[in-house]
Amino acid sequence: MTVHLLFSLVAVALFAVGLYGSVALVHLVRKIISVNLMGGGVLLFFIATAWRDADPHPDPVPHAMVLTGIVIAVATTAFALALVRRLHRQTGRVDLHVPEEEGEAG
Amino acid sequence: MTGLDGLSVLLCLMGGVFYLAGTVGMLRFPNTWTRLHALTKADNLGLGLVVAALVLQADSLPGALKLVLIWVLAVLAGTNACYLVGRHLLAAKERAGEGEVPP
Amino acid sequence: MTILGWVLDGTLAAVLLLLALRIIQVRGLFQAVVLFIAFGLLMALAWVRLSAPDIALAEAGIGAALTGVLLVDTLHYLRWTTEGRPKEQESPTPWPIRTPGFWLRLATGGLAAGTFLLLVLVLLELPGGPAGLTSVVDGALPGAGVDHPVTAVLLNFRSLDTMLELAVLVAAVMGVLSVMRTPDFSGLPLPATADGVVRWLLRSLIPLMVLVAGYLLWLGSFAPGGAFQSGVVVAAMGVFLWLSGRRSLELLPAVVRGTLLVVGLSAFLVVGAVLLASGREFLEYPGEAAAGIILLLELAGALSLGVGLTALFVALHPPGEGPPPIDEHP
Repeated sequence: MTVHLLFSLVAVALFAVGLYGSVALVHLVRKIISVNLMGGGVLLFFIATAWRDADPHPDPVPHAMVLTGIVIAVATTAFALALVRRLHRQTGRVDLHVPEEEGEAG
Repeated sequence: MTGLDGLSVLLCLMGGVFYLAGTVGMLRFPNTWTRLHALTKADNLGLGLVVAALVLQADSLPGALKLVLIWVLAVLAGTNACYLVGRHLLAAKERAGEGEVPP
Repeated sequence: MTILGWVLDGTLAAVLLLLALRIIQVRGLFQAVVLFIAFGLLMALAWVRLSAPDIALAEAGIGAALTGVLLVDTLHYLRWTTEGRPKEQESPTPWPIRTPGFWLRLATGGLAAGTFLLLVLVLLELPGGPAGLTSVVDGALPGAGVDHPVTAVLLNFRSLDTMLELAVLVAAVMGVLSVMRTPDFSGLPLPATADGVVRWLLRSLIPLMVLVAGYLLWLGSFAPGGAFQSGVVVAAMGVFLWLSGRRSLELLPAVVRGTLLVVGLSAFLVVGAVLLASGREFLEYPGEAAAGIILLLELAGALSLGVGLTALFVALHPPGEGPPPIDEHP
């Protein structure tokens, strides 16, 4: 096992953990954090794989893509948090559950 | 390994000891005031030792000066963060009317 | 790989994974956010271990710091509107948050585990050995205008990606402004601080940040640095001002503000159009002018990035709305 394989495995595990969190957690901000974890896993996978071609320096194309990806991740997180705030402002909720019948309300 | 390298390793290890002490303090001290103390002082000194070790290894004077600048900025940031947290705690304590110190 | 290297990388990898698991599992939301910030910083360490210093710089600034500020600010906002809203604004039919049942969690855990196994199988099937573009990039590097391969890829070989990323940032700012219905850029989380220490910090750090941003911009031509890292420092400057209760974006004339927001994207489009008009491909730089074009695009990109990221923060706070600011030093 080489170092890049270790980090690739961790990256895939991060993705799986984030996937679990984004589905199983109910609070919207927690979902956003989980999706960010998934993003971190994907980016880590990119760079760990770029290290395969490490002579004389790692493959710079995945590095450039990951740089772009980090900025896009924060922009998307900001927009998602804006949506959460708007939802909270209008309904007072921070989750997406809608009751099916009248009996559930209250 | 030359004498300079040995000195660098020694300084790095000492810095590591200070970081460890700071972390143990953060985990073991009873309230936030003492934890701030441990974190800020021990970590700043630890960083100073690590930077000193790296300065000995630096290739050129500008490189060494940049390392020292990094240490100065980190000390600034850490100290001011400590101050802001402490000020917030004090204000919270006063708002609570001399009640419990927040943990 | 030495034993020490293995210990270091193994510990780093293990702590990253454990942090992620803890973030999912921890009960308090504030704790989860703090752990997430720590996670971002450890990711920056992982980038350094994987020989990606450019990304480490960007991750520490954006992934850890800026995302952390966004999350903490959102938590502050949510807590206010839960506790302090006037009666008539209470939501009409409050119902409790339903935590997912055991079977749903089990099924989701199974899905995650299945995805993990599938991806590991794919990972082991990847062709080993050099299968990347390092040699291609190195071959084309002499005529690229810069010496640093990552900068060359970002601003020359794949400058289309960078242009579109700046477009995404502009779209995100517009999206946040629309969703939050923010009329202007004067929203602040706290009143202007009267605290002497913070004001001294502002006076000392802001000029230094300008210097560092310019230095990183110039550095990108031959060392890790460039437009993104410079833009991150500009954004940090803007967010620092915003958190100290100082208006930065509001003070700019609207025309200047709008221009700064789109100058990155526009610079790419203008350069591309000019190149198209002179008979080349879109964004295909002529060899002798490449260095100058890249520096120009980097400057525009850094400005846009910094102003755009700051605008995201300011746009999330419509003026007159939000928690009553806690004034610690009235």
